[in-house]
Amino acid sequence: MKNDDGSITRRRLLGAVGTAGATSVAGCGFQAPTAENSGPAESPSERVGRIERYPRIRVASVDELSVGDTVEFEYPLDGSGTFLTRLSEAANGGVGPGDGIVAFSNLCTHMGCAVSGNVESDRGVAGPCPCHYTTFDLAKGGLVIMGPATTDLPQVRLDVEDGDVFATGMAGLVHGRRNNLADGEPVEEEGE
Amino acid sequence: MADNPNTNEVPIPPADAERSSRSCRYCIVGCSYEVFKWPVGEEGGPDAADNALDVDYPAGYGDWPSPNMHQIIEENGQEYHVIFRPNPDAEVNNGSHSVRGGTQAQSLYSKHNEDYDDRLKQPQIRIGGSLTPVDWDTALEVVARVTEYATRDEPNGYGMKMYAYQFVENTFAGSKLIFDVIGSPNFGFHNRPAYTPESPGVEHSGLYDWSTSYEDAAKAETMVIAGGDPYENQDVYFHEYVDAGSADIIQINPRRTFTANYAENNDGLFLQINEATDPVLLNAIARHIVDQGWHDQAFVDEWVMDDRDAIDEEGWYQEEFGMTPDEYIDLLQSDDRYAPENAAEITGIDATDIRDAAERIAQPDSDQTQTLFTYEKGLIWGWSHENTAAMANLALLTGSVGHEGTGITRLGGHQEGWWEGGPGGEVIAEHSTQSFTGEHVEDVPIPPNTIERVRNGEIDHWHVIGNDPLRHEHDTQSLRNRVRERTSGSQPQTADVGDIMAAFRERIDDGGMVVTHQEIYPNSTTEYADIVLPAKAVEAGEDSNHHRWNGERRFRHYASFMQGPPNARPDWEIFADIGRRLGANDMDWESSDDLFDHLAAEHGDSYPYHIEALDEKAQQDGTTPTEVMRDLDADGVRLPARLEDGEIEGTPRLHTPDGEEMPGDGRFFTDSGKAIFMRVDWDRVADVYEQLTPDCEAGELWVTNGRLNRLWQNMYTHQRLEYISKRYEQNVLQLHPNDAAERDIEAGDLVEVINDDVYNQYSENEQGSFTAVAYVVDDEDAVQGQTVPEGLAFTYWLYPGQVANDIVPGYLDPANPNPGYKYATGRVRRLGESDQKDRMSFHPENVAPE
Repeated sequence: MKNDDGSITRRRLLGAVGTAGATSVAGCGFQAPTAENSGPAESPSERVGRIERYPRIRVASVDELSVGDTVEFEYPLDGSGTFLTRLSEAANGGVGPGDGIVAFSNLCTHMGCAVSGNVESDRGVAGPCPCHYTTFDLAKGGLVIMGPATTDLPQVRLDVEDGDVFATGMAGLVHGRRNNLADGEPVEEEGE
Repeated sequence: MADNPNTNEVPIPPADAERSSRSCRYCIVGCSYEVFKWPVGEEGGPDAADNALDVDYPAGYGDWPSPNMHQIIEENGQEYHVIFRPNPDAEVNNGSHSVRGGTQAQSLYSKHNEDYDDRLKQPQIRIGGSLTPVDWDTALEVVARVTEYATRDEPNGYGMKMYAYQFVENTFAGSKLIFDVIGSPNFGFHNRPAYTPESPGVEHSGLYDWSTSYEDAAKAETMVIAGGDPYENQDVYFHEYVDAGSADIIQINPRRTFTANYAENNDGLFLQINEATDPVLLNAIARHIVDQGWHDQAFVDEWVMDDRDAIDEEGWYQEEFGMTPDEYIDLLQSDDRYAPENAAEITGIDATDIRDAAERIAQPDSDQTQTLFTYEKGLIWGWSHENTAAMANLALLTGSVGHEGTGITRLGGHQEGWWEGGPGGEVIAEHSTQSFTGEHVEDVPIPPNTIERVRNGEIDHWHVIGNDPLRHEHDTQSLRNRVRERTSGSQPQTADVGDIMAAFRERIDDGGMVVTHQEIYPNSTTEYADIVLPAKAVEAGEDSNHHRWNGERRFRHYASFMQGPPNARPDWEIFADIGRRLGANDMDWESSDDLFDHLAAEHGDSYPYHIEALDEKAQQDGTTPTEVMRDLDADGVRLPARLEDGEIEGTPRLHTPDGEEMPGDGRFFTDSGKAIFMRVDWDRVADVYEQLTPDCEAGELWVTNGRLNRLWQNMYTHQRLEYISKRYEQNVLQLHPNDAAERDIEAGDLVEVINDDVYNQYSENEQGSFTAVAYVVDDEDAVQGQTVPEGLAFTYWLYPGQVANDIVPGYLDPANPNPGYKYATGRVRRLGESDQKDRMSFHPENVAPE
């Protein structure tokens, strides 16, 4: 099936994704969950070990966030894509005005494709994921509304201090990880 | 923001972890999984060379075992990690998974799992009104003796209600017990009350209802999906084959589901049909094809029977319903209800769309159509003959069978594992107390409706295995009332076999009934059971090896990898023990492997699933059929199997033109090898349709039911798993906002659905009701339309304690007594605000990519 301009439709492209490896997926939504794409370490001992605690980093200013705004950042490790957004409703784990500011991992917990391009903050959802169409409820802790993901979308713990939103931890394991704090470099905390 | 408490870390299996292969315990797709098991205290490394997954961490696309794929089990004082990983090399799923399969580690027998306490762990007998633990010998001796008493005059006093899906070893032994050892005709499958085909119109036309290959969905140009929804229910089939292909989808469904929107968003058609009018639509499509001359006349001439006498000789069903091509075309063209404009009035589908669908199906510009017909419960559990026959007719009319990208198949519920172990047909012919008289046949014995025989007292000992008929069947509120009456008589007061039997004899003599329930968890039927027999969950890897097949007849070995409850037994072993106590001398299998080897060698030709080649291969190689299957590993073999050049070869699809793969002489399952058109006449069901149609003036709605993506069947595991059940902590009732507003109902309200007059063709109509949480989507949020139209509500079909079947009519096809589960009606009223108002997500579930 082709579009009138001859390009392959997204459906066909994604169809190819389903049977392809990570390399061929990268152009259509998959985000490799690692900061080590330059090549794997030669042995476990050369990998960065597990860090002791989640870093605390500033993500945004409350005053600069309107409903529907989305900010992408990396947390808790370099290369771990996350997004922060402001919903029009109060959310589980939400902070700021009306408890509507939330942040989540960018990686669908089904197969690891990126959902940040499909965030609809006005409706409070992320999805359908471009690969297998899971949709998450951002006001309900990343609950799966529909689709094959086997865990909720991991939610970033936030707090607000002096008008700034800080990421302080995560609930739920990020796709691809054995532990959210292992096998990568932690993002840099302010003041470090 | 709490998630599953186990979600913060997943251990890595060491390189030497024990690995076994098995398929998912749940749906028909039958995804393949690798199971890794290793002692707690050991762990692999994050480099591929240092772990059994062969994965470098962080894991990439499709390589990641999620937290819900891991659990810890304990055996003989040693704890083991277990990981269920979707098999990345398996042909079926290529590493993909559904939410059901991807969480099956959470229902392993483990004290860390939420279902642990509920597992049935020891035999029980109701003594003094309470289920009381007893030993196996007492329990099975009572089962055998009450069976003997119930069948002392004729075998019909024993009735069995058993699954069709739970592996060939178990179904063979169970059906041998009822048909061979006991000789009763009163057998009902888990989902219907009789020993009937689910797709009578397809099977009696000579087609098989699992005849295609999954690849056909990827190769079709048009894919008809009627009364089914592959995204909702067969996720991996949808992703790996439907979505990977390029077919224009024609989705026929009263509800605008995800797949309906997906079809429209991808150049397909969504035909939002009025409830229960499918035969009119399908006949109208067929008529337009014929009127335009788009049918495949050459195929019909060569492969469809046109000799009336020969059709009659195929059997009474064909004599009653079979038609020659001329008769079939005359039926289509002589009844003006099937003209598109008139059909539009009945079905609610615009005549232009009917013609469009006909053209996409017939593909008049192609020499050979590439049209695949798929259907499921929306057709099967409606007018089961008319709906399935109309689909079969379309496939035959357009010659869309036996080539890549064509065919007709069910989409399916569970995997399949039925292997008849006794002479079922002969027993029914000799002992059935139900018959059918039609237009062309008179008083032919048919498989008896066992639910009616539970109600009317013919069955005195009801043996229920692996299902919950007091929730699964039709008109269940009334059924529970009747079973309560029939089990409330004389009760045992001690665990002495003699005392127990004295009580049961007295109860039976007074018109009562004894219920034996063989299960892995308690359910609604257990509440009425006198004897409870705890079974191993062999589908979860407990105790012994087993075999069954998926929706493309892919037959596979399920390797055991754990013990399960120590004092539970696999079903085949329980059947064998009962059989021996009743005098059988050929049910002394030493193991499930022994049973399977016997089955393959002596009974390998169960229509149409031939596995004789497994035994031939075993003899050739000096092994056993079990070992042959184990060596076929994750991909197994698509049945029928045959031996070619010393190797096992499978059959991708049935009904190919040369018919080489078929066990008989022809292309179709008839004596002639040709197929048969089936009579589909709206008049046969029109009167019942009028009776079932809701009275809008009285505020009634259609209240249809079906599956929801993450919930599996009667939720025997899922009701006990927090991650799964938290999406729907109670049953839901999808309501259109206008219907909700008329009743002052908002999303999250607790509502009651009441049918004051549940249709029952055998007895007085009674009242039925159930409760649910109103699922109402704001119009602004319904960005791709409301899922349910005005006038129709939808609910989950088997939610524990909120039972949709309590209002389902007792209409069963007189020729093939299957119920019309989908055709319920009721009035809906608000009870009050539920605790789900602020907890449940009420976003639309039908938003497809655009």
